[in-house]
Amino acid sequence: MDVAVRTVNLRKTYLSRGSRRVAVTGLSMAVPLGGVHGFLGPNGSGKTTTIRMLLGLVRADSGTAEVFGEAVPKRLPQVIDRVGAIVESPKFFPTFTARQNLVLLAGAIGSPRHRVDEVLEATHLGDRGRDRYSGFSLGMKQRLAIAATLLKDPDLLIFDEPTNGLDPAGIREVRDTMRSLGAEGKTVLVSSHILAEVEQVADTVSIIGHGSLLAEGRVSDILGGAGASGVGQVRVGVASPDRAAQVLQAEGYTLTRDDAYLMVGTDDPSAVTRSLAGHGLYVSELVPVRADLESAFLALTAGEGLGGEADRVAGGRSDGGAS
Amino acid sequence: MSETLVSPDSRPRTERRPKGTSFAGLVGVELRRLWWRRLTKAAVVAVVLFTGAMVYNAYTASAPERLAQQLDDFRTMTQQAPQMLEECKKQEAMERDRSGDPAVDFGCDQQQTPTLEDMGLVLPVADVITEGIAKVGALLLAFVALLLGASFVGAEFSTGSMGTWLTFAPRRLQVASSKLTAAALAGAGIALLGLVLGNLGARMVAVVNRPGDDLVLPDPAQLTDPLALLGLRVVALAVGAGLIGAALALLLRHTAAIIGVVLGYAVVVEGIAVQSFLQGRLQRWSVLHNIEAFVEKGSTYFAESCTDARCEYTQHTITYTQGWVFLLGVVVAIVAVGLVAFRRRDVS
Repeated sequence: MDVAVRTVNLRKTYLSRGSRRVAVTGLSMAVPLGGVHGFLGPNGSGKTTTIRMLLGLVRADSGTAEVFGEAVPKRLPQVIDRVGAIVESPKFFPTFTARQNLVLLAGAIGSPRHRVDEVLEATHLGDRGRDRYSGFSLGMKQRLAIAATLLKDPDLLIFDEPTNGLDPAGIREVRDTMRSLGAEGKTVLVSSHILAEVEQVADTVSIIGHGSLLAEGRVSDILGGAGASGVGQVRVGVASPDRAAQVLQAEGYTLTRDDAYLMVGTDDPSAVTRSLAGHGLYVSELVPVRADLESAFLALTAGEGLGGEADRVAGGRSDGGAS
Repeated sequence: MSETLVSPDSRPRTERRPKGTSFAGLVGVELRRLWWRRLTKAAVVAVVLFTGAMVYNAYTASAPERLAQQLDDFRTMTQQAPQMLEECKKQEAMERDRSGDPAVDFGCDQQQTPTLEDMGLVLPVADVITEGIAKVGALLLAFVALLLGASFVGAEFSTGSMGTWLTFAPRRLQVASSKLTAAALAGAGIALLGLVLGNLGARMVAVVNRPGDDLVLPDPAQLTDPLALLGLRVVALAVGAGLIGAALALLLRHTAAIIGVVLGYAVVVEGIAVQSFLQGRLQRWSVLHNIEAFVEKGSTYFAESCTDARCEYTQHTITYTQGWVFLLGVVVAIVAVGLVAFRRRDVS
């Protein structure tokens, strides 16, 4: 498999005010070339730290990382022109205009001045180029950050929690943009703790927890093989759930109770209705429950949840901060 | 309807791909950013105002009416000098009689009539006025350069844009060097602006305040050091200050922290410690004394030296050579530490 990004046993520990916090511990992952790759994990699981290490902003304690086959950070200058990244929130000079910020970045990579106007137009900021960055909404800041990455015409785009703080329209724009870039053949690495968001755009995913890899592969493979409910589960509403449960268990179905409903594992919902009807039990509701990344994730993390602090603290308290 | 943030670009990638940039290109970008900053414009305004104030001070001090008044005072004083000498000797004789000690000496013979030069009554000459402005303004110009360099780099950390910048230009030493170079050039620019304005102002003052035929004044003493060399030293001082400001920002990452450190150092070390400890002998290693030694080609300080019998203050000299070696060492050390810290530390 051709990979855009590969890490092997990557490890990072932060030292702060006498405490050590292991942010990434032996992370090995591979991002395939082309398409959208989701990088999932709870807050504090090490996603942003990993991205910072890939971009040379943070120095790894040990392990290796490659971008397009070049070891980073040592050979990052050789590939940086092929990498566009937005780490956490967009960060520019607040008192400069959007255009001034882009002119500076274009100058740093030797991009011609007219390219600035082009990327402003491409991100629908053409008429706001002379406005100060400090006056921009979060959505416009995100657009400007994307415009900055486009100055390079990158092959790899890294978006770190790109929809944080955006309104629904902004979220949809970013999501469609990622999908479109992936469809163009670019590699999009999107980190998020919002699983539903990634599930909608990602072709492949890496799921991390406690700073190490929990699962990796195509989204469909993860959904089917991570011990989640699988594709065959239906929620059954019936007048006598206890009796229905006895009937279905007797016929070999696996099931659980969910309040007044039964969650029945099956690939054939019609067989469930037939079985119950054969015993004079009529179904009032039958809803196929699609397996999702969230349930797969919860299964992988043994129900640790999505919002918890997953950092490991050694020798002191957790300092928070990096995620 | 679905909409993406990016409109497709159908041109060949070779036309869209950046060409890369050199170190000089990076310095150019940094200078552009420097020029766009509001603080740079504020610094320029501050230099103009301060230089203007010094020129105005020189103008009022050398106005013909004032010189004429001072000349009148001088003549009155010289006319009264014999009487004062006579009065002194009379008092001295009375004291000898009263005390019976013929050795009583009021120092009357040492009372000499001051010259016009002693009283500062000389022709207002542009070079002399410029020299005064340069010497007085050197420290302020250096402080402005330090502030500008510190804020120039510190702002990148406080806004988080340093991280964005490094995703475009990841060679840290090259990036840091380009910022230091820009800060040094900014320091040079600030100093040159002050010197040029000061010199132009001084020339204007010399022309406007040129006395008429009725006011005859001597020429001032020749400058011991060419004005151009003094100007170069002032520029070099501002360059060093700009470098120190930027390097401290690489190290401390916050403009306010740098200002705190610099002011704290000035008060605690320069203001208190070097005067109080080791009977004042630490003044030899005071930054301010060494700046003075560098700019004015020498500096003196008094330190207490004691024998078994008594203590007395003696004058010590800091040479020009010590001044520039000391200052160069400080700049090199701080820049080196800043570069190493920036190269090794994580950037958020």
